[in-house]
Amino acid sequence: MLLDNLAKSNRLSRNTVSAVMIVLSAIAMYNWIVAPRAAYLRAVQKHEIVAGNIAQKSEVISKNVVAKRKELQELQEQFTKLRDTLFTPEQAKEFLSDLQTISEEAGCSVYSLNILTAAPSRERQQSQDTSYILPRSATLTVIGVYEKIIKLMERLQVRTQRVWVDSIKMEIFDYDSAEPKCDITITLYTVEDEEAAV
Amino acid sequence: MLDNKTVLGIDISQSTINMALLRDGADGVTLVKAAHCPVPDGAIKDGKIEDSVLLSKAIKTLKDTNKIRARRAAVSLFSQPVLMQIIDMPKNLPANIGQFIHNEVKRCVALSGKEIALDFCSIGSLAQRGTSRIFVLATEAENVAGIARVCNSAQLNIEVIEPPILAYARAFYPQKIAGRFDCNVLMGIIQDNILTLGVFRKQNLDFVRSKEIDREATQPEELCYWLADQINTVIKFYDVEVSDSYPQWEVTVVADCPQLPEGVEETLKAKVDCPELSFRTPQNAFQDTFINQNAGSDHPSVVAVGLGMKLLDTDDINLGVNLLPLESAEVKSFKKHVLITANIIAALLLPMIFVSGALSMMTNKVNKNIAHIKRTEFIDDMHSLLREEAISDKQIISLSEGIEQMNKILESRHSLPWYEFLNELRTATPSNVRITELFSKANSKIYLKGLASSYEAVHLFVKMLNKSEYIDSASLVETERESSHRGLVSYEINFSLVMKKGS
Repeated sequence: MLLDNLAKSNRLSRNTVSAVMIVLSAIAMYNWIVAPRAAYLRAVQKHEIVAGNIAQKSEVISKNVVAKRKELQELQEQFTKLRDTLFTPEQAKEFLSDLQTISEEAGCSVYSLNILTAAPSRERQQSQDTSYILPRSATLTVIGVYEKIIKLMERLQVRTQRVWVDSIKMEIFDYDSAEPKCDITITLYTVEDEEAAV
Repeated sequence: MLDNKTVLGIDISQSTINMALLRDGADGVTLVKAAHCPVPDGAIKDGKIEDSVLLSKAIKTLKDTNKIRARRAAVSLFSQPVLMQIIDMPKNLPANIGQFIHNEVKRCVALSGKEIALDFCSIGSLAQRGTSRIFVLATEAENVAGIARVCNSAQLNIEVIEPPILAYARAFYPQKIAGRFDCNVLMGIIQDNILTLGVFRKQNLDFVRSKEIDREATQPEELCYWLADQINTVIKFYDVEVSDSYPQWEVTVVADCPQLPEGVEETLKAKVDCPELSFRTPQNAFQDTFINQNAGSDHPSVVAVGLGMKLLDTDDINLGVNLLPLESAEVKSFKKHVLITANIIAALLLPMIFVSGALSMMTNKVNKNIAHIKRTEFIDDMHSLLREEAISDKQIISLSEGIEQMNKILESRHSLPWYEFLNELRTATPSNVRITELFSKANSKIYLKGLASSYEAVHLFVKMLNKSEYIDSASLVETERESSHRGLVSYEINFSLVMKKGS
């Protein structure tokens, strides 16, 4: 029916219908054929830009990570080096308990040994969140010739872990024969929490 | 290459199919090609198409065999009955002329009760005779539809269907009709046992009549006499009935009728009182046309030529009738329009496909680029990198704080190798000096008390101490000769130790 009407219509009507058909077909073809691919291309191009940016950022981050790895390694080496100068709690305990043996090995007889209880250090009080280093002190009274006392001092100080001699007191001694009584106060530091440093 | 100036005329009679391919060029109309073949037995019978398939096949074969190609074609109306009539219209023209003529045609016995296909056109002008005359051509619609079907099956684009008499008139017009203002022109056509007589006055068709050949006139001589009688009847009619008729006549008879005897022209001249009488057969009728003829086209059909001329708009004769239904032309035009539209749409589709292909290629290229980026860069490790970076940051902060704290502690403590200092002290002590007490205060302050044999020994001791690298400014605080110690000198020296920070 519609076709019959079209067949009988005048030239203007036919041309109009044809133009409409052509325009609609062109729009439909564009929407069905070109538009999806164009949209996909735009999306892919955006993806490419994003991928490129990510790649650049990734490269920067990668370089940062490499630099930080290096920095971390250096810090760890530094930390290890420093930490080695301090005692672990076990090492401190062992060292303090061995003080008598050390003194005797040095040729001094121990008169008294007083290990002070660990108390929060000033450093710890200042930075509660990161402090894990605690001082341990001991007062050692030995009797021995001057030479042996020097040897004891050497045994105390010449070691990997640092031992500070805070005070020393000797009375009536002869370098060669007398055996003065010597009070030595030492301090060492323990690293309480190793996991935090790793 | 086909163009609108190359047309095909097809003359179909009960016995023969004739084709004439014409081209309208700079030298006028030229007969390019002509061909003919017999109508297959059983295809047409008694003026009706009996076997349309057979007929269309014969037409197509003739066309293809002779390589005749034309966009446009005109075909003769070969089926019966055909009504050709000139109607004098009343002075008060009816509002609907078409309906008026249709009613007039329906009165014809041969067409009564049947669906009619008709067309008409006016002849001359109202001013010429004081009244309007209409030439009407009618036949059964089924016949026209049959011819159209046959031609469509033969892959011919038919634009015109008209009777042979009009095609003859058109073909003969320049030589037989044009410029005849002082005589009447009578044209008699015998084809398929039908005699059609047409009279032209002042270049216009004035009279037309069709009559079946008398079946009783079986002998050639009788047929010749019958034909002369028919012509004389028309001439007498004009002498008696038409007041302004010219006395001179020019008569042309074209007869496709093998029953006519030899010397028919002389017989007709003797019987018809007209010295200007010429008799033509289909074989020699072409000589009365003005058409240029190419070599190789022998005995072209004048009807086919006249039909072709109709399409070339060389229609000097004012008879624009066409029995091809208007709907058929509209449908063809519509089909053509649809075809053009479809072609445009297809033409639009092609660049869109190309554009789509180009977009796909670009997309593939970009996808490859993305794949390359993903393959070569660390996009997939982005999260692990970020995680590692965060962990590293955390560890760096933690380690830095730890190191800072340790450094802070180490830097806050002064270190002295006491065993070296004590050794140095022993070395620096003169033999006549004895230390009775050594103690440290505030880590770096050292106090020495002792006895010496003399003041000089004490001073020497101080001097020796000051030379030590571990001692910073040793000073003598007190000296006193002790009577209780056999006159020895007691002394008190204090000094600061040179402390190294940290290490």
